[in-house]
Amino acid sequence: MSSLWFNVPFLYCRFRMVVSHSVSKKTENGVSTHDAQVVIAGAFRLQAGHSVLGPYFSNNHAVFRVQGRCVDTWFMAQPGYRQDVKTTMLMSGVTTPNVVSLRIHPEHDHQGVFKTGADGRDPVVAMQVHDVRKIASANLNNTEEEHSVKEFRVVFAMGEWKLPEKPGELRFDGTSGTSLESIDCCRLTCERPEVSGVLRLTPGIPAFRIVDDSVEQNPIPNCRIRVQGPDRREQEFEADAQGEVFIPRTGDEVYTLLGVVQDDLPLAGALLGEWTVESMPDLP
Amino acid sequence: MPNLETLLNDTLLLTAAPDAPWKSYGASPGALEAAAADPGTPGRWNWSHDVRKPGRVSGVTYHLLRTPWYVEQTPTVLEELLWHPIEVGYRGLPLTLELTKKFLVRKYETSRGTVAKGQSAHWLPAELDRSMLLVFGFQLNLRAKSKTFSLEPIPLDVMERDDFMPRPGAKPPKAPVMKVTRTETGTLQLVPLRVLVCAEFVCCQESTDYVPGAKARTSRFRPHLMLMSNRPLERLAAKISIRRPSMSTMAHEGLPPADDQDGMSHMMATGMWSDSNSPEIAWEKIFTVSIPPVWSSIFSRFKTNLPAGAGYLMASPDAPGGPGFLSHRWNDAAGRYEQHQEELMPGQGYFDNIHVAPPMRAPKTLRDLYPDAKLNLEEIVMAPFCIHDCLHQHWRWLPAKEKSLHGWDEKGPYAVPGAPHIPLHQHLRVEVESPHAYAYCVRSEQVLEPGRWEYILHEGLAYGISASHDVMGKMLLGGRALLSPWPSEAQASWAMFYWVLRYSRTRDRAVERLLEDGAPVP
Repeated sequence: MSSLWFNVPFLYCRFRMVVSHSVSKKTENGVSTHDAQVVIAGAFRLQAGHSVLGPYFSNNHAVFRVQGRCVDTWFMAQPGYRQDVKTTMLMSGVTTPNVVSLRIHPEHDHQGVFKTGADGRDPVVAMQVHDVRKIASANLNNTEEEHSVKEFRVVFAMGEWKLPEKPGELRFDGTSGTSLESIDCCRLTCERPEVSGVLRLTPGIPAFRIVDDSVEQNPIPNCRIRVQGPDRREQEFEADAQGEVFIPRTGDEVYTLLGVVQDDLPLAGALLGEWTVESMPDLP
Repeated sequence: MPNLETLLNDTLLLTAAPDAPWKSYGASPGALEAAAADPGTPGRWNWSHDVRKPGRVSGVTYHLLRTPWYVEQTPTVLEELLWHPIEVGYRGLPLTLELTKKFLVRKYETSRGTVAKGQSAHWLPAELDRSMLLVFGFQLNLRAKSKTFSLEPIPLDVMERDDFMPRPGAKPPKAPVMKVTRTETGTLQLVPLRVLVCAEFVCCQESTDYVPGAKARTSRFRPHLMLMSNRPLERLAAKISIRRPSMSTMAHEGLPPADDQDGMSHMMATGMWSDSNSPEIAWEKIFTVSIPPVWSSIFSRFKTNLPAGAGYLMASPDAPGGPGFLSHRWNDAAGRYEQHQEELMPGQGYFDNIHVAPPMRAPKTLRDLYPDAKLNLEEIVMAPFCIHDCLHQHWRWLPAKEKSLHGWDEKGPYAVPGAPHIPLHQHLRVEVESPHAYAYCVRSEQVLEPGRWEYILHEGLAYGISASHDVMGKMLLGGRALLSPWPSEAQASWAMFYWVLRYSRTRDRAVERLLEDGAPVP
């Protein structure tokens, strides 16, 4: 068995999963609705741990940032009687460190499997669950509320994912593989989450990414930014088509993003929004 | 800082019906209603609306109950109402906000709701009839090619965030220090210009708050626009077309004795009037037996039968008020016109209101009696109240006592007696599209503050229902004295009552009590 992927010591992975759907079902006597908006994002290194089975990359302590909500409502009404149930699930935080892995099968056309969790363990984050049940009838008007904390599991697996034989930067999305599962608080019949991400060979991680402020974080292509380097010199860089700016970095130098050049449309007048930093420490 | 849900609470529909169901449209392909939008039990108002052309409401009707003057029926109030694209300026860039399905975010519908007294500074107490709220979201596409621009719908998730729009007066947040080391990637999010537009078509049940002294019953309907952006807008221009059918669909058949005496000309006509600001003209004084509301006493300017193409500046921050135009009022005793300089309120423009209604006709016996006379008996315009099928819009009233008739100050509506009913910085122009349709055109050159609602056509319109029997009786009695020189049929005729409010009779000629705008001074 041979594969050039055996020669790759590290992969850099940026992953993003967006769940955004709203469904409503009418029944004879009522309506049930389900509305989910969840973003799961992570950036981590995958370290090579190849075996005779094939190239293998993993990180045993990868974490994901999770932000979102899922609201389920149901009501049933008959003459003189109505019942309402509303469950609100809120998740916000960082998952417990857990395994993310990529296994490549060179003998099967370089198909890969990319997934979270191992040995029955999954990355989880706390989920606040609020239930409200109301019953209203001619002789009863009752409301019950309950609050609990449950685990929201970040579970996904991409199979039948064809990787190129020659290692290189690899962008992926929902069309790259199959077998994506629905998220923990969704119905099996719900729309599949939208997945996107990139795998890069080390050491090339972008210094800056310029994106819009939607949940998808759509990249702003070819925008120019002003950056101050470690020598305090100011330089202008242009983002690539993915909104990413690469600066060769080798030491402990610090680069400062001073701003986005906004002298032209469509960026003129855009506001600077949230700033986040993902750390990719060198693995031992 | 507010999200979409919080902002929409400022709309009239959600003020009156906070739990109104809505249907979601837009960026999320699987999006469906949070609860089936259900207009519920049918009310007096009805209309058609197709989300494929969301900027248009058509076939607006009102179910009238029987009155002494007409049978129960459902006439057409509007053939259609169009919200045209809104033009805004941003950093010198002209942007056109098209109210199309692409940008439609939500549609709310309800058939009931209540605005209680004191509940809202922006909305009068009202009981809602069938009503609708459309929400549109626009943003500049930051991913467009350099030096170009395009608009795209605002993503749904953005509207749910608490910082979707800034608070009024809030400064943009300070840029963070954005540093990265070798093993870090910094992600900077850019926030584009965003504009939220609400188009409401809110219909109200009958009330008496549309005219001074609660003298008449009308049903208000409020097809206004509300607009808010997250960045300063330099310019705004909006246009709403209000189109009645060319012929009135109202029927007077079978109504003794009015119909065979007070026939109506079914062809619609448009007229405009200005209220007199004279302090001695109080509407409570004009509903007496002895003082009927003749035009020379309550109006300062008018124009009837306006042709297509006519247009006037109706309110403007550039209008200083003070001594204004000259009016000419007929002095019966002297047999000539007397000139008066009208005192204007700040912001007041050319006319204060528009009425689109079918004129009346004098009883046939009278028309036959004076076949060659210049008495204008074939087409008699109804004012100040309309006894049938009249669409009213008042963007200013005389300085009245009622707060509901007060205009805007810098903070909001219902504040200043006699002031225009539009935000102080807006210029209002009304253009006649046809004898039965007009366009309400607003522009503003003032920078619109981020996070603050801009209201367009906040004053709304009303469909005339009836005056109370008591009021009508007094009016008719008051007019009878003036009609004493006429044959007795005239004294029981509503058409002739309206005639005598406008005209004095000199032998076989009608003489305007207030000379019509543009008419040569005899």
